[in-house]
Amino acid sequence: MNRQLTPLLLCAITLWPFQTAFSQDNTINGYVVDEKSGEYLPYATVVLSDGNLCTTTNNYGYFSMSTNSDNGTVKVSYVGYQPKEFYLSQLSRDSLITFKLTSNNELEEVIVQGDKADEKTPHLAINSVNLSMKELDKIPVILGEQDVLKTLQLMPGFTGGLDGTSSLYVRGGDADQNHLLLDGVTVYNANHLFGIFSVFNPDALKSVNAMKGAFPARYGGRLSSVIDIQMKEGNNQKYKGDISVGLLSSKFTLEGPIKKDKTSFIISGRRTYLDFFTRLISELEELEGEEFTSGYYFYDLNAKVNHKINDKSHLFLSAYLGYDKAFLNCDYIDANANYNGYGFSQYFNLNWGNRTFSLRYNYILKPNLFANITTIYSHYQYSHQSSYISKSVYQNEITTNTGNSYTSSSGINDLGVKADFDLYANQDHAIKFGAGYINHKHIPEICSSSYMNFRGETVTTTDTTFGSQNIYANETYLYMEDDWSINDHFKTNFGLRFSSFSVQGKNYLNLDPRFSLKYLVSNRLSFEAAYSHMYQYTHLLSNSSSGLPTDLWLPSTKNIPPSISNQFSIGGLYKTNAFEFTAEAYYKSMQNLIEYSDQSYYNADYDYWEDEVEIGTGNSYGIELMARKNIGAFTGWAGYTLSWSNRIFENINDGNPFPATYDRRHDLSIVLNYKLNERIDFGATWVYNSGLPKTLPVQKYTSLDGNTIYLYSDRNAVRLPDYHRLDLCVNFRKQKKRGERIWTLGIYNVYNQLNPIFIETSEDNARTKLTEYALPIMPYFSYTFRFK
Amino acid sequence: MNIKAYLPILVIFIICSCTKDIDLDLSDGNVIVVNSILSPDSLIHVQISQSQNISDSSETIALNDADVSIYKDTTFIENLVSIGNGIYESSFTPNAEATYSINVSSGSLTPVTSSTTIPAKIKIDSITWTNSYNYSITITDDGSEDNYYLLKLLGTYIEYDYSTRNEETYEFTDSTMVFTNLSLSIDDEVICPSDNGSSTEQIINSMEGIFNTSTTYHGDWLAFSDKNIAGTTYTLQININTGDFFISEEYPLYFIFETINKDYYYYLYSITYPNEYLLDQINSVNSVYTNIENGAGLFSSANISIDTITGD
Repeated sequence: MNRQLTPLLLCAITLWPFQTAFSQDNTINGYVVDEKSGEYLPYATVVLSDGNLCTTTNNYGYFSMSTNSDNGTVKVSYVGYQPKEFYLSQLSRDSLITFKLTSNNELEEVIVQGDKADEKTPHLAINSVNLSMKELDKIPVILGEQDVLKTLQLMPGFTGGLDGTSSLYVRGGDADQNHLLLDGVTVYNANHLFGIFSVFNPDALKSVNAMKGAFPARYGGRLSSVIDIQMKEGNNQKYKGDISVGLLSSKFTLEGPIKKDKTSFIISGRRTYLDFFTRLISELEELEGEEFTSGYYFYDLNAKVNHKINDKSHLFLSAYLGYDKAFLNCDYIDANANYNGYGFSQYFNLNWGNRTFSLRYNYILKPNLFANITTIYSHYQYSHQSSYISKSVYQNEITTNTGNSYTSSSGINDLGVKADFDLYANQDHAIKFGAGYINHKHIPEICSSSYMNFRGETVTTTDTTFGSQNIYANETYLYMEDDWSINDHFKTNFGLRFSSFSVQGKNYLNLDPRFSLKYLVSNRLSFEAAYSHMYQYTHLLSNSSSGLPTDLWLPSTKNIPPSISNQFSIGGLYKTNAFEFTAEAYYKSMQNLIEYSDQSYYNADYDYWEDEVEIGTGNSYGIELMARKNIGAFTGWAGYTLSWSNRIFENINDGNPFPATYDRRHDLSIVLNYKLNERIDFGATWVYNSGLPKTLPVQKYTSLDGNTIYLYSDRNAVRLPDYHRLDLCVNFRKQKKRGERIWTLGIYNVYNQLNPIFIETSEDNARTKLTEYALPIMPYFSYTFRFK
Repeated sequence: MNIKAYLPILVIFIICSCTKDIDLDLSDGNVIVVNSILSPDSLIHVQISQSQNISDSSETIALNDADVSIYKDTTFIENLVSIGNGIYESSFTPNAEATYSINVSSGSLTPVTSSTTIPAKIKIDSITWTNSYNYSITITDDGSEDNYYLLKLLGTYIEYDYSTRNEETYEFTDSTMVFTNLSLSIDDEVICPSDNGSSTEQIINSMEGIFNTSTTYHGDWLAFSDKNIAGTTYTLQININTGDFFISEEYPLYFIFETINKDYYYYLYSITYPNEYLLDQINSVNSVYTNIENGAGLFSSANISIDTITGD
């Protein structure tokens, strides 16, 4: 970036809000909350009756509006809640207003921004998706485990990875290009059980806002998407709880007031019991003389405490703890009648998990100036230990012969602080600005091995293949954005994000411009065009395409520059009272992407991970269409994406472009929900995707040693068969004395379409055959009880 | 790697997954396959064949009508002569430290080319032993260039017939004498810093040496680079793992120490570790190294030093 330009731009960013902040009218400000639980409602719509003024609450349920009018009404609405109107004359201008909305469970549910088509709405459902947690219950998913990320996979522009997993690829980006934020803290590995579950427990979540383009300047650090997830704050009126028992896991949630209207908490946890099954299988398969246990489990825990210090200030403490573990222990002795023989001991352990904490302080500095100060901590680590010891038995005495052990671990720690401000400058300008600092500690990979040599000595070494040196980096950023209502028809959000990443003595300074322009033709029809420039300082180096915990999170270094993307998008929205139609087109270019080089596989001389990667570029483009019905007994949507995603690396595929791993030409999802009555509702999902590109053997020959050697196609040059699948579920609900009971029955992959998870090559009668592994039809059930 | 190590993961797949053979249109153009290791001690022999679609029979299609021309540096030397079964032979022995190129064309197949520089011979300074299973080999590495080595041990051992084993006494009643590669391991922290070959994971991560624990018990060899011993005189510690072998005037132990070309080293690496990690097999590709332009196979070279121990 031009060094002379940087200070000028920084000055502009700093002074910007104050240029517009002093032409204020009367201000109405306050919170929108759930009447029964006291939960703050983010993205709720607040409209003045004259129709010219509307706004939404911020992430913390706060809003502020300026008006000259003394009369009229304020209408407040929120997804799944009954809209309410308040007379301006009844509202006090001097004190904070709290609008309380009642949940809409008994009526027809409105599951997205539910304003009538003829009313003004501040949000356009282009480039982003707001998910309601109530939607998740109605969508059939594998093994009955509701999942935020799997639901997002059904939206245009968002696509999944391996069948049954929650991995997410957005507009042709890679898995590491999604910024997953839980209460403002980055979550690095979102997978439990190798991706079958995501780490986000829906019971503990309040809102999900997923953006795939037109990123506001307050977000940064990833190229392709931002998935901003807010945890519930906890009911500050009364104690409530849920218990749910499923095929693979059980979970509970408990929330309630510590002090009514002042302090509340929520705690939610779940654990799988797959390890009980695997232990049983292990025992059944034990050989004589063998002691064998193996298993897998994960647990996670979400907790949050919310304390209202006074009307102007709130304190929130939230935490997430997650842990996955796969393990195996085996002791085997084979001795004859004379007590002579041999044996071995084997141990294997693979575990990984995230820990995140955030301490957040909200303060209303002025009615039109809202401050949020957050300290964050995020930790991700995986570790692997294995050992093998061979033994001999002589006259019933066991002697250890040789053995080896191996451990490896990798991780990342983030510690930071950030300050975000919402300035409601006047009727036309809503400005957000802020700054943040994050200290990153990357532990690329430390491998340690020891073995017992032939002299009976134990030798321990530490390997440096991936660098045993921790890498420390400091990231700072400063941003400013303005939601500007130019007139009744044109609105814009424009902003700048300045960031610095300091690592290994090198300082990367970058400026991200963001811009979007909305043209409201009428209250039914609108268009939007947007441009986003994004930087990414953290990379996921993956030697698989399945999102394994052993993939390594690595920083930009003095040799590996940050990744960059430029995205252009344009789209339109048309809505009626019941339907909503969107069409979008996008083009995204990406630079400084990293991949393992082909040569790294052969070259044993590489000592450091940077020597093993290639730096390349990519691009993706496509169109996305969506039709959605939000009200009535029948609700649901159909989403279609036509897209291309390519990569170019100088030393991969002979420098020729090749399709990205999850390049899908056609991606169609149809989601239908039917509410038969208050007690029974049905859900159905049908998904159709073009086949994924793969690198597969296409030729074979005989080697020097007489072995059969495969020649592979160009990178990702072979298309697998098309993917399609139908899932169904039905919920039986019943109101009981103490709460609501829900039985959910479902079938994943109803017509047993075998869609490949991976392909195996083998020889059969002198011919080579390809075998696919696929998930078959899988029925499931779950039982949930929600206490009143 | 023992497959049980990943049992928990496998269990998930076993519970959840089904298998089905799939038929994809994978037809692609056939290519010429060239296989040859040049050595100053012998005439050049090149095996020429043709790759096949993977759905075809595994039998090799030898090409006996190919035009195979050899160049030294850029000077044409001769066309090799077919001696049957796709094998072509030169009338000369190549020279050490010279670069040879090969051009092969056959019918409508795309012509292929490759080249290799024959390395200089390694100097074995001495071989000593502390007992019949532990040996020290001293070599002097040429520090002026990157070198790669391949070590094999040949000897004679007793192969027992396991069908004649007495399960109580563990004694055999039938056995035969076999002259073959002996299984070896290396107990050397410089050549293979993290492992002696007992764990493939450790070798993969050390990336320092290739120790082939092949599927046949008596087929081992060690390949390594001179990265950590460049320009030095170095003593390598070798262990023989084969039981009941002989060392005598009648049954000498042969140390075959080859200086190999870098391409050969890459090839050995790629055939030794095609799929080490089960998890990485999912969707990953590990193709075998080739240095044949527009084709497949290996055209590389080695220079062999041999020494023996007779037990004296």
